[in-house]
Amino acid sequence: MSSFEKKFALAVRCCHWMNVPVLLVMLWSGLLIYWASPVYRIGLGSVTLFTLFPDAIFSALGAAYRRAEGASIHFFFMWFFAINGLIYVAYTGVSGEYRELLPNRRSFREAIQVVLHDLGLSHIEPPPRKFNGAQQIAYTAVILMGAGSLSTGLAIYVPVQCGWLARLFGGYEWARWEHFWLAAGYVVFFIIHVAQVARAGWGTFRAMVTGYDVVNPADRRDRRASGLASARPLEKRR
Amino acid sequence: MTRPSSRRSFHALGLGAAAGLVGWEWLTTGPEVDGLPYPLRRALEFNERLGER
Repeated sequence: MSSFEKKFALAVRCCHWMNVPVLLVMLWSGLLIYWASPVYRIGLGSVTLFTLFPDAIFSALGAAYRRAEGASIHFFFMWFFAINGLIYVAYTGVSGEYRELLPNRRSFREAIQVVLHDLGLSHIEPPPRKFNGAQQIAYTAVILMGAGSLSTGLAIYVPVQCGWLARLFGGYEWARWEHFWLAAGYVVFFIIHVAQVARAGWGTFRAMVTGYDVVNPADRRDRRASGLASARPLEKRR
Repeated sequence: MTRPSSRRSFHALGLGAAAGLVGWEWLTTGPEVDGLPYPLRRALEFNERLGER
């Protein structure tokens, strides 16, 4: 008989879903600011593959000539981004959930295995526990990216008051470059994350909404065998 | 223990999304101060005061 297992605490789910609109607004308002000086590109040496971004893209997105609006939105929602991130980090720290999230010595090898499996190049299933090595690395990295975005953002928002911070990142121009590419990193993370959830199925999405995962007996045996059984299985009642 | 309520959680998510949309509307279409919606202007002033410390 299938049973329910608590997978995500309310605090984690709230922070997760709060982050969706906040991150989208931060990316959008960041793009409105970036329009004023779109200096980055993808290329090597003098060869440019893509300009980030051509005027046509800004115009098509309706992001041109809205820098001041973008800045005011960005500097408002940065507080939500920061506070939400701090609550999440504090919760995982206090609850001890960080132990499941932080990568360990095995995570990197396991992450390669998971990637090979997901690309269809390996038949070895990812380990049956809450977070596999690839997830541990990704979910820890995205928190570090958040800290990086906040600190590089602060360095370029108030470069006079936080000159030391800008210098720490290599100067104003480097801090800006890092801030931009961290934002691009969220877009990549978001695409992979949504694709993985779609691939994993409805149960994974539902677990992040309800907090509970439906576990069949075979999965439960695997988890116990790996010493990672969830603490509170609930019998499914019809 | 009883079966966890899936419906309640989805309702809460929907309510949260609706509240977010209402909040966004309030934030971006409210009365303006010096060309910016009031809450955004206040946030900028708050940031400015923080920067002066």
